[in-house]
Amino acid sequence: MEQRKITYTFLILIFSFAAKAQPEKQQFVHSGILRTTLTISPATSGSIYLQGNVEYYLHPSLSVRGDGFYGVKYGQDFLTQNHSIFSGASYHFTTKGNFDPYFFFQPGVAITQKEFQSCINVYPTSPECVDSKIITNPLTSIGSGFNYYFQKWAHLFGELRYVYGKHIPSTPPAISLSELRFSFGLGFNFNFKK
Amino acid sequence: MKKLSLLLMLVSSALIAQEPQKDYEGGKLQLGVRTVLSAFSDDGYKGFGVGGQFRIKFANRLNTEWFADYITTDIGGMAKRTDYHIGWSVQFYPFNYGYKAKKMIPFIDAGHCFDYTEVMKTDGSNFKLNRWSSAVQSGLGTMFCLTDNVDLTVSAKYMLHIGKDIAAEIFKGPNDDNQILIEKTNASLEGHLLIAFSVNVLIADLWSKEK
Repeated sequence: MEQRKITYTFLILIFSFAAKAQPEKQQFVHSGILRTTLTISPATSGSIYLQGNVEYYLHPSLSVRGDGFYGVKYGQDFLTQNHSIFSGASYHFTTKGNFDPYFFFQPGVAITQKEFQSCINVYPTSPECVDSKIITNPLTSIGSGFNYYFQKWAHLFGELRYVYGKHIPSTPPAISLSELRFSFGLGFNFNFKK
Repeated sequence: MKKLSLLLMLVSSALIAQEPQKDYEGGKLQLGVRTVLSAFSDDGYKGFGVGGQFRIKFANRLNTEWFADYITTDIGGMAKRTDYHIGWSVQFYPFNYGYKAKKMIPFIDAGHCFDYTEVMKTDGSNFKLNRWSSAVQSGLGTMFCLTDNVDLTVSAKYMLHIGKDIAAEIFKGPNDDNQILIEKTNASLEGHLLIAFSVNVLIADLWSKEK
């Protein structure tokens, strides 16, 4: 239910920006733009991440990007660490003006750890305990968002990302890493091509 | 089988013969990342993973893909299977072949890979078995070029492992609780379907001569 609410709010936001986009202007986005952001990204699981992103436009419609999420609060039960990195590409829709809507696909990996030592009862001896290890888990993500280049060096952005993955530790239970992550904020952009 | 191979050879040679003499696609180097799904394995559980690849094109209709995958599978909440693949494939494009925006490029794919598998009980006992093996894979796929230098690719390959396998079987114990048996089996032809979704970026033109 919460995920739906966030999705609808986000879509309304995108459409209102799209409606405001001025059709008479030329498209701002061009190849050679490097954009970078640092923001706080809350997720539907209750987790909060510090998100960093670097993206380079190879073409007005295409960019390659890398994202990193450093977990600062964990919504999933039993997790003490959940950080992730992603790399992939974004497809940008052609618009006139400074509005830049896009969707993206980014596989990635999560570095996760469970919260406590896990013990098993080995009858008749005392329980054997093992430390929870830091493990890497494959992830994939898709999402969409927008940039609004309101200034030569800066832009506003908003993004919604669905992440799919699972933490499979050496002791049960496996923990789902699937969630919706939302991010919004200001970013910097630089031109590497005239 | 012989007839089919002969037919494929004939079709391939006919298609190659139709090609313009000037080879302008060879030398294109792509780099990509991918999400992989492993299905229809012998233990019946689906794996999910991440990987990457680069492609070097040798001719208009002939590409090579060099890949690595990291796949994990939750075996009924009782064990974890981890697979690492490193391998290569040859892709043959029977229809379209040039990287052009909005173009679909279907392909036939065949190749080989080395793989390392580890199956670990997830009951805290740290019991695990592992093995190295080799596999051959073949399948179909298609690229969809978003622009002249970026494509989305989906492919499905059947990967047949050659060598010993690690089997994990869940069964009911004496108290009607689930138990798992993990063991190395004798050399067998064990396989699974590998479905990959990838995004690939053309990063260099190593030796091609563009028209």
